[in-house]
Amino acid sequence: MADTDDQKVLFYDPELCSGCSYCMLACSYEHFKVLDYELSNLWIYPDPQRPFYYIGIHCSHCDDPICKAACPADAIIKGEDGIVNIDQNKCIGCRSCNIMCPISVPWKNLERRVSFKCDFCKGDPKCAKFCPTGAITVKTRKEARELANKLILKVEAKKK
Amino acid sequence: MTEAKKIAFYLGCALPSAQLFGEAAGKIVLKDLGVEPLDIEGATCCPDPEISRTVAPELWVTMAGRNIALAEKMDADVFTVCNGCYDTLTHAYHMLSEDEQLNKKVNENLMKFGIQYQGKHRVLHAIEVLYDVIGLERIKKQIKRKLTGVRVAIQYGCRIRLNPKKELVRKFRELVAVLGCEVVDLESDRICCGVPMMYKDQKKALEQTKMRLDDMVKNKVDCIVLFCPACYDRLEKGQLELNQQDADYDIPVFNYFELLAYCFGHEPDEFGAYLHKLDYEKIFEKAQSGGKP
Amino acid sequence: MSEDQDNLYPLRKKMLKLPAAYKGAIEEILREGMNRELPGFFEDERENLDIGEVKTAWRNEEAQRQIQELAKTLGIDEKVAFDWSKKKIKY
Repeated sequence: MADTDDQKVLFYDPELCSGCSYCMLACSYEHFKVLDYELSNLWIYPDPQRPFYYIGIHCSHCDDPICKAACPADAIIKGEDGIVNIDQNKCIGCRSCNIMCPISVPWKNLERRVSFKCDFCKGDPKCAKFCPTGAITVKTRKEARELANKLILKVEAKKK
Repeated sequence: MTEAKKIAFYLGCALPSAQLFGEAAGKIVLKDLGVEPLDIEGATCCPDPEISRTVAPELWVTMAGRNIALAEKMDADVFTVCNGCYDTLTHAYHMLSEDEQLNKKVNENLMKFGIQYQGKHRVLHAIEVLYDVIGLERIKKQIKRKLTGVRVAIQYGCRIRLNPKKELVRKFRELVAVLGCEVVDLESDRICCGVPMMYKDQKKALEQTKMRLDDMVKNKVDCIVLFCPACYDRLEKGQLELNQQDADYDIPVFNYFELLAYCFGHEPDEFGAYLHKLDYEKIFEKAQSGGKP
Repeated sequence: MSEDQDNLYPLRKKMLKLPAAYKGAIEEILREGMNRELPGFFEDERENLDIGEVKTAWRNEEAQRQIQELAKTLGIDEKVAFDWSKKKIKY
């Protein structure tokens, strides 16, 4: 694989997230022009293990995306900018990508009968733009990896 | 100080109407501290950093630029208590100072009305005005009575965390601690009051508010102090709504300026505290009795 | 999404239908800069507390006119289908 350290990705920091879920509304408005938590490409859930903390699930635009490998219709493309996208005109709605993705980022829109996933809003992700606490930010993959490692160490230190 | 320092007080939409006490207390406090708050004539909605920024970003940045420019006309920095307004105005300030083309476009539109955005004056939060411009020492000197024994929870609000370098959270906590009350740090201090959920799912919003309130009840909090009028609205109305569903919440919510005005020796009636919908008097009674309920 | 749709249906009229929650806010901004008209009760209270009259947009016709003209110049009224005669969003 090419060096993807400089690729822009989303980074979610649970230490900052207030759980307001406006990112989900901004996402559904950007893609479907409606406000609906069900039509969002990223999800914020309350953390069942830590009270008052949240879990953010968003696409990592993997280096070697398993959703792309699983798609029988070749509808998933990884562009030159590294963004993994579903071509809704090719998608047959089989849900293979939904099942294969370890965090189930692609989801099937039952009304349109095809799958959708984060398309990085053409380089300007609305979730990060409208996040009121700065919990979702756009970082390069290298920065995101370092920050995530720091977060893990912090959580482990707290457990001890 | 010989001459009173002037500063433009950007009120936003809630402060001049439903939360009059915030405006009144703010003006009293600033005058006591030797700062003259100026009203911005012809100011509009900031506009809000969610809806109008999503639907009409061009209008959003132009209107925000216009509001700052009106303050600049008076040759003063502008400050606001609302976290939403602060976010909009600082965002617009940065966008206009960094993007020359946008600056030119916005000014072209504003020049038709004889307004020019220059970006020479700062956009401040009330926390910055009190902590950085005025300073804790001067506030301490003015304090005549303290809120001894009152357990206070702070609702910081979300948007003041956006710029970690400004340390607004730490500064706000220090400002509250100066009042002599017992600051209760809660695990739920970080979480949202529920306002953004109101757009879509009012039930979810109420659940969020309940979660925050329950943590306060559990920790025996007497009152909530905050700056953001949106959080104020949600936390107060949320309690009233929940009380209609057989709950029994009674935690009064105060704008920080109100508590400061009380500590400066002003009576609650002077700043219109009687407009609160929850029992606010018990807090001042508790303070006067030295913390005994 | 919307751009793909535009490519598929180039003759379709571009129209933005706002969600209900956004509609009121946008209408108010275009109408009076979102500074709502105060009920008489608050006016009396303002007088009692001696904090002066509100000087924001709904009291200031000039400011109101300026926002509306800005909205027209930037094409926001057309984008959200704002009916100037009824002061309401059409759809």
